[in-house]
Parts: sequence; structure tokens; C-alpha cells
Amino acid sequence: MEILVIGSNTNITQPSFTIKHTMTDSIDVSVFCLGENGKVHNDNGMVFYGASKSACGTVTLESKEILMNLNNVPSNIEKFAIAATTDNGTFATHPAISFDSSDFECQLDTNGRSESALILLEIYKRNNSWKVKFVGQGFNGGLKPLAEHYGVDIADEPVVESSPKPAPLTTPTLTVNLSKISLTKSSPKVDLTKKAGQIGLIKVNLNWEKGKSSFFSSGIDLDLGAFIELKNGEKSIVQALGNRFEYSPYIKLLADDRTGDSSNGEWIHIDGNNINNVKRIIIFTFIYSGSPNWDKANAVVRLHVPDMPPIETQLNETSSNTGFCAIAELTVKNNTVAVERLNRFFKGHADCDKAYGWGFKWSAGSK
Amino acid sequence: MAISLQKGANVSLEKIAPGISKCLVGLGWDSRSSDGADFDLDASAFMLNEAGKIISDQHFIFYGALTSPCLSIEHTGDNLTGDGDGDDESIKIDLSIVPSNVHKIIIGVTIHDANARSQNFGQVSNAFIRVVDEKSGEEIIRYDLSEDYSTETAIIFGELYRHNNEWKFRAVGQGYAGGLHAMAVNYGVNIA
Repeated sequence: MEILVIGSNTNITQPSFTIKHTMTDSIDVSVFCLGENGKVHNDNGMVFYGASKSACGTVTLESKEILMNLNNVPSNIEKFAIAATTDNGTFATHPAISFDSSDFECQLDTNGRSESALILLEIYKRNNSWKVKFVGQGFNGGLKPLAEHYGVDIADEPVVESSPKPAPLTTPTLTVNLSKISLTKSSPKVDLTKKAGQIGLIKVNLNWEKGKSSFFSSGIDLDLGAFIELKNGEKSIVQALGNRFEYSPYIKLLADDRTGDSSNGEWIHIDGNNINNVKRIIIFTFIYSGSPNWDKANAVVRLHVPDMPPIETQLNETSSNTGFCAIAELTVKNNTVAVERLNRFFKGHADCDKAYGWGFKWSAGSK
Repeated sequence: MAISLQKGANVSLEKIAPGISKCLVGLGWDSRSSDGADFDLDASAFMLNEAGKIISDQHFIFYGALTSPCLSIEHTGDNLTGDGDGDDESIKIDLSIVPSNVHKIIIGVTIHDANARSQNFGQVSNAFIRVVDEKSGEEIIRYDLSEDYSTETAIIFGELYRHNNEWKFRAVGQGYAGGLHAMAVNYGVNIA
């Protein structure tokens, strides 16, 4: 065990190790997988909150931990840079950052740091073995200059065009949405800033990675669905299973995506202007086919409310092998709408029904 | 074809560049790409006697005194940021006119204002020292220090020394805490 100060380095003795850190949820950790020239090979070389596992499988970001497995690093990767960014303010407003791993530990004193993006550690190949260096240098301008330093293209803030143009086709995984509200274990709830009845269209999106079909497993098919209960006691379910696509005029499920290949995933639209009649809506997802491996699916649910940053919750903090997940609950009380992260896993619809008191009878079906 | 040296290794200049007299010692490092204070690295040369001490205070060549009294060593000037490709600072040495009482020439690099800026060599990337034969313009020796330094603020990159009537170069890579002041005092320079 070596205690590193800024600028010093030491050998990595175990190819597979965990780096524990003390950064809070208001700091985003990213890892850049770099070639010999110190740049990423393509935009997949950035592991961050939108893509928490590297394409090569070497890096996995978890809450408070970075898992490194250097056993199968592609030969064109020479270095991993572990960086952190803060959404608001500089690192001086955050407590000191500590790292703890089997071969080393170190602490960054944040006093007086003017940066809002910091390169903290570099794990790099030297004479065919791996070393770690405590870097502690960064950028005042945040994630954008940091990502550009490593050759990642960051989408600029959208420019308002004076003449209407067709919306460009975007590939969401390649750009980094710098504004967001994340629902996490420690901050599971957000109140919408608008009054119920004037919200407009709330769009709920489920997206996931299909995963490679292999001899042992085919891709994963996730279905998005919702339970809705009105203030007058009426209740319903929308989901592809059983062709229950709409509960008018409140909620509607758009087309079913059977593969996850579509960059759009699955969508539910909730009419926010009629939401005053609604008591609660529970958004859920279940694995229609494929193995119940939520980690591999990298599923992300985003709520888009007009004029608000997207509200996002990831289904990555679990090793659950059950196939059904209640993701979030919208409740309408006193003219305000709150969104709460649930992330509770169940064996199926019936279990979830019991837990949340829906009161339906369930039998097997297929689509 | 330059000879690449590892830390501690030495080589005879006469053997790899027969008849060499004028040479240029180039020192380089990468400027920082992140925000924060620039790294201002300074190269210096110390002309030492057989006992390893400075001949006189005038035989300490640095950004404040660019030429030795014997004119055999000339520092080409201070680079404040490390910008630009190739050598960031260089020292010209005419070995044929180095006084006979000079037994060794130490080439060191120090970080200016390192403590105030909280900087050390571990944060500098791609540092190297190289020797170029001025007659042919060819690089004959190179030593990359990249891993041999760490948290020091002063490093001896290399040294030229007399051995059996010829000049040899050694890749040193030895770090000092305390910057240029400590390094100069160590060789017997009287620092104000």
C-alpha cells in the first residue's frame, strides 16, 4: 500500500481491483480509455453517467466505486484517466476527495481549487505493466474542455435557429447532456416546478442496450408500462402485453421497441393538462424476453417535462435476478406533481400489484 | 541514430561522435494543457571541480547569468511556459574550450516557484534531455525521464564529465527537494 501525493505514481500489483472513493452524488465520475496519443479512439472511449461501463469491459462505474479489470485491455488502450466533474461551482465547494484501493490511497485537498473538472488518477501501461499516478490537474470550464482534452466530441448547447429546420437525427450516446436531474438512492424525489394542469405533455422514455446475442443468450426485450389510478378510484394498466396501449385521455404507450436497437427506446406520453384527475402513476418495466440481467441492459428511464431538464433514473444499482421493476411514481397532491424513484424489483406483475395495492388479477400472456 | 540511455547509464561522446567539440544540450517537457499556473521550468549548468564543487559563483549558468566566464557554456535563454515543440531550453557547450580545472558539468532543471504553485516533476509530462552534435546537427544521446522523477522540484537530468581524457555523458535523473536554491547551495554556490 502506497500513499500517493499529487505527481507520484506506484505499481499496480493486482490486475483486477476496486477503487473506492468519497465523492458525493453531486460529482460525476468519468473514465477515459486512451490510446498511445492520449486520446480516445472514438466516443465510446468515455465511460460516464450515460454509459457506465467501457466497451472493453475494463471499467465499470458504480456508486462510490470504480471497478477495474486490466486482464483483457485491448492492445490499443494505453491509459485510463479517471476524472470528476461538478455540475455547479468549483471543487473548492466540495469536501476533500479520497481514493482507496489495494495498492494505493490518496487524498485531494479541494481547498482553493478553481476547477470544475479534475483529472484525478491515471492508470497507464509502462514497460508492459500497469501503474497508477495521482494527477490532480483540471479545467475551470468543466466537462467540456476535459472531454475535448481527451478527444471526445461534446455536443454544444443547442443553437436557436431563426429559420425552422428539420430536427437533425441525433444519436444520444455520442453526446453528453450536461444538464440533468438524476434520481438516486440519496436524492430519490423531485417536485415538478409547475402546477398540475399546466404541465403540458410529460414524456417518459425507457432505453436500454440490447446486448450482444450470443450462443448462450439472445438480446433483451424490455417493456415499458404504467399503472394509473384516478382520484375517482378508476384504475388501469398500459403496456404492450395485452395490447393495452392507451388509457384516454391520460396516458398512452407509443410503439413497442422489441430490440433496444432503436435509439429512441420506448415512450409513454402523459397528458399533464389532465393530471389533476390523476392520483398516482407508477412507471414500471419488465423483461419480456432475455435473461434478467439488469446490469447488462444499462436501462435508463428519463422523464421529459416541458421546460425542465430531463429527470433520469438508472436501473444499474442492482444484481437482482427478478424480471420486473417499479421505476418511478408520479403523485399528484395539492396541485403539484412529484416524481419519486422507486427502483423496486419484483418477480412479476402480481408481486408488484400486491406491494403497491393495485388490486388487479394477473394471468400469463404474450404479445 | 541517437543512443537512448536509461537512468544511471553513461556513454563516451568520443565513441559515438568522434571529434565532437561543440554540442547543444536540449531539454524539453510538455506545457500543461489543463488550467492553473504554467509550469516554468529552468535549465541550469554547474561547472564543478574534481571535488564536486563549483569553480566560482560565475560558473553557475542559469536564467540570471547566461554565459560562463570562459565562454564555453551559453544558455540560450529562458522559456517561461514550455510551449513549442522540441527543446524548451538549451545550453550550448564547446567542450574544446572548457577550462581544464572543470571536471564535470551538471545539467539540472528546476521548477520555478514550485512551492507557491504546488507543482512538482510528477505533474510534468514527457521530460527529456538530449545532446546534439552541432557540426552534424544530429542528436546523439537522448534520455527520457518520464518515470524517473516524481514529487521533486529539482532534477539533475544529466552530467558531462571527464574520464581518461575524454568526455562522457551520464543520464542521472536524480531529484532534489527545495528547487534551484537547494541545488545551487549543494554545489557550493553562494546564494544571496
